[in-house]
Amino acid sequence: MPGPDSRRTSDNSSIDLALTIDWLDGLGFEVLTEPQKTILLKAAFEAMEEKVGLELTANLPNELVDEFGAIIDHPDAEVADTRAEKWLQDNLPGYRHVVRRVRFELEQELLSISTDFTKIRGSTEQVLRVQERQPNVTSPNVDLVESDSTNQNLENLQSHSLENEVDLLPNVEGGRKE
Amino acid sequence: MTRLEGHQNLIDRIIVASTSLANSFPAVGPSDDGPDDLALALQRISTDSHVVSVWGDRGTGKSTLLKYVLERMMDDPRFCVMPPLSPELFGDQDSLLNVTLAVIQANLLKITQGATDSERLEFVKDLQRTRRSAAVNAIPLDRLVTAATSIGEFARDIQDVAGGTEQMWQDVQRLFRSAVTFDERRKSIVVAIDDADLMRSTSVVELVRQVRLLGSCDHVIVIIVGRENDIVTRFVREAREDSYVHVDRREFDLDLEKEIRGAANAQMRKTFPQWGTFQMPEPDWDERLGFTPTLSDQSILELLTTIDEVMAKNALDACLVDSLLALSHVARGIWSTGTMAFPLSSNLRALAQLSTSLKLCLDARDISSPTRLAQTLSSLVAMIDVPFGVQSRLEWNLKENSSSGSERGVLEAFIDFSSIYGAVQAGQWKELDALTVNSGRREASRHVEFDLRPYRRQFARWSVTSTSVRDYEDWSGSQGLLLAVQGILMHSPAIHLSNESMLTDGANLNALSFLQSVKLYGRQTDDHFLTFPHTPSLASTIRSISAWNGIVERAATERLSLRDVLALTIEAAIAIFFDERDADIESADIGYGKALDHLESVSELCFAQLRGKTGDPGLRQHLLAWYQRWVPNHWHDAIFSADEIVGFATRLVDLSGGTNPVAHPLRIYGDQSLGRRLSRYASDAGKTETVENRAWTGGYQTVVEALDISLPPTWGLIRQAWQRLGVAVAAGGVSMSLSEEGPVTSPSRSIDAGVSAAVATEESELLLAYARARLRNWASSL
Repeated sequence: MPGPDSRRTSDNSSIDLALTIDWLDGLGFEVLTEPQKTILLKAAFEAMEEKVGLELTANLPNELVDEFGAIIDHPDAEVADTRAEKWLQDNLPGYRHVVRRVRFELEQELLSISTDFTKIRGSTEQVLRVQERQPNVTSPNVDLVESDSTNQNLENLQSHSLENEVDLLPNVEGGRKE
Repeated sequence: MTRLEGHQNLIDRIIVASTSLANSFPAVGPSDDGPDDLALALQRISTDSHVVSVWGDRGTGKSTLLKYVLERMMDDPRFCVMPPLSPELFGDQDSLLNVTLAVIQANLLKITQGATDSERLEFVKDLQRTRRSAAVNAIPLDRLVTAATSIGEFARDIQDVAGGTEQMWQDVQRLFRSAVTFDERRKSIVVAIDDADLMRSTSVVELVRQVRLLGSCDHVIVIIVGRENDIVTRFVREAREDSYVHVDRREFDLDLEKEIRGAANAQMRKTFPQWGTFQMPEPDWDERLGFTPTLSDQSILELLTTIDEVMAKNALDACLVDSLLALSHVARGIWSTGTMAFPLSSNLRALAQLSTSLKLCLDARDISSPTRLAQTLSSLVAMIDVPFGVQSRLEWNLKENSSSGSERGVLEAFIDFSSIYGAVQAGQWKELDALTVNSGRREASRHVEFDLRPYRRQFARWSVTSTSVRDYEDWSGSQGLLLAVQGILMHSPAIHLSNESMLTDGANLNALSFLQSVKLYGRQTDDHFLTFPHTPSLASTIRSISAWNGIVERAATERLSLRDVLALTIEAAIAIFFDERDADIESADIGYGKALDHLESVSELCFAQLRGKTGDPGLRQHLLAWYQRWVPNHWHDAIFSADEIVGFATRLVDLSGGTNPVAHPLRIYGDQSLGRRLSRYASDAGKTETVENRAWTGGYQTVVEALDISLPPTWGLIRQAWQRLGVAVAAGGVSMSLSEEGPVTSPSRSIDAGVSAAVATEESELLLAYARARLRNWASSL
């Protein structure tokens, strides 16, 4: 399983940021198809970018924010990149630490996501199996507890899926009125 | 009347079954006393029903077949054939039994031919007693009392009704037994019922019950023809109305439904025994295509061909024809291949409806008179089967639009579909992940996502509630009716629809400004990005919806960027509001700059047309207003570069003659609509949370400056929040770039690389959605 130790580097050395399908598989996403993995990799890459940026600029004075904004708005991308690099080294010298930490946190988050998903789905299926076996029997307390937690898990899953993502789920309503 | 060639075998089988049944009845003579009450009751519960049933769709020739069968029976002295009954003509107080007894009374001489006067008198007495008993039992108690009813009479009526039903049926049995004694060759009275399914929908249970009881009497054969499914359906519905009295109608009770279905099936099996059940053969589809309501009419095929020719000139008709064909479940493929993918509905009645609909729609394109249009609509609704769930006839109000001014529309239409309960749903939405991250890190740092899925679901569904029927799915009937009416209206000169109209397939007119689910830097926006001009007519409404559907489809299929989708809306708006035609989304070129060039040139022409009073002024004005008010909403810093935005805004200002409102109604001016919204957002920006939520609106800074929009000082907070977010994302991107080992590993590079053997499953879709949502939360949390 990938971890921070395997990629520990000195502060000035480069960091392996390659987000690959193998890396994703190692974090428990083997079940996804390759196009799905690619979508997830892009999401992970962008999330990491945003997270790193937010952490770096969280306490940055407005003047410096404006200064950096002007640099990256330079019409020549090459000039913008060179100046941005220098600006980062001058004003946010610890950015490599932040990138490395966020990279580690991203791994942990993805690992947590796949684990949580498995747990949620597992407990849901378990309750469904119990209900199938005992369709007319009132569940004992232990089942009730499990059922409640499963329902909560499902709610969590759906709330994590947020607004439109739940639309990915097959429409089970058929043509019935909503 | 339908010709029935090749049905001889079926007629023979029905005659054989009836003769066999008649021969099984016990022989009786005039002097026989007959069985007592107990024997009659035992006989009734142990005897199989003497009912011959012929089932088939309308128009398949059931009535004709019944006619031939009865003619054959009339030639056989074993049968005394009564004139066939038509339940559709029954009044409120009529039941099968009292109508049958009335028919016997009317045919008294025929039945008692050969009887002595005293025998005939005795038969008449029995008949009258039975008729009175049947009539009293058929009338609800509360209707027995009239102003002239005496207490004594009422008491007698009560006594007759209370517990008198059993006795009444024994009288009926004795009556039929007596009726066959006047001719020694006679074995049975034949009672025929035509179009049984056309019985009042609230009386089917009673009809089936009486058929069964009548059919349990010796010496009577009941022949019933109709649509079995209709009878079962109405039976179930009626039983449901009774059963759900104490149950909340909104809650589907599975056990109760099973019970109702079980009872209906059991009753059908007992009433219509298998040995006496016959099915009408269905016509083949060649016959259906050649169907003509009358010999002088065009066949369905000819009408379809005519519409096909017209359609080639006007693509709009494709929508109409598809809609009409839905009435008969016809495959769409006929148009492209000239052949039918699968047979038409077997129901010739539906074909007659289709034929009339097609003719009306062909005629409707010339209709400019409100009165004629109303007549056409009335004709349509009067001749097609109103879908289940409609509690009352559809109504509309067409009138001269006195306030239309210079607009071309002459009618206002309000059609109340509120009594239809139906749901129409398009197919599943495809996964859409359109990110504008294709070229380089700088672009990649702009996170713009859009998601049309909610709208795909919204526009594709219309459902109207009913207070009197339960949830129901109607996939073809109500849709077909709705769209056929739409089609007729669409082909009349421009019509003004009221905002309450439900004619727009679920999207009301105000909803045609579509709020698109757009995320900028992972933050959900809540303003309108993807919009169409306001639609003042039905045609523009339908076309806009159609264009919207096309854009959603193409965006999903080609994974278009938001910028591309915005370009398509501009091209669609030009097609609908300037060219007054359907937008050809499928083959439209995509390019935002090009589309805006097009819009600009068209706007000049709009001004010229408005001055020259040519074209539809309403459409032109709405197009210009949209350009002014909503198109600038596209020009967000996350979607376009500053140079592009300045260019767009400058051209709009030039076209408008300035950035301030001008008095001339034919000019547009630099947007104040975007300014008003931004002012509102800025005014609300008093709290940190609000500022963060509205930070994305700060991305309009370039267009605000270019259009010289004046905003409150709090705009600065929003602007700063947006800038900080942009800087953060850019800083993140640069930091990662500088920290990387080797070349940038862009996940997007492998997007098309290889196809996994794994197939996307519900599980994997759910996992992906869950992971992306969690990552977004994780990214934005500090």
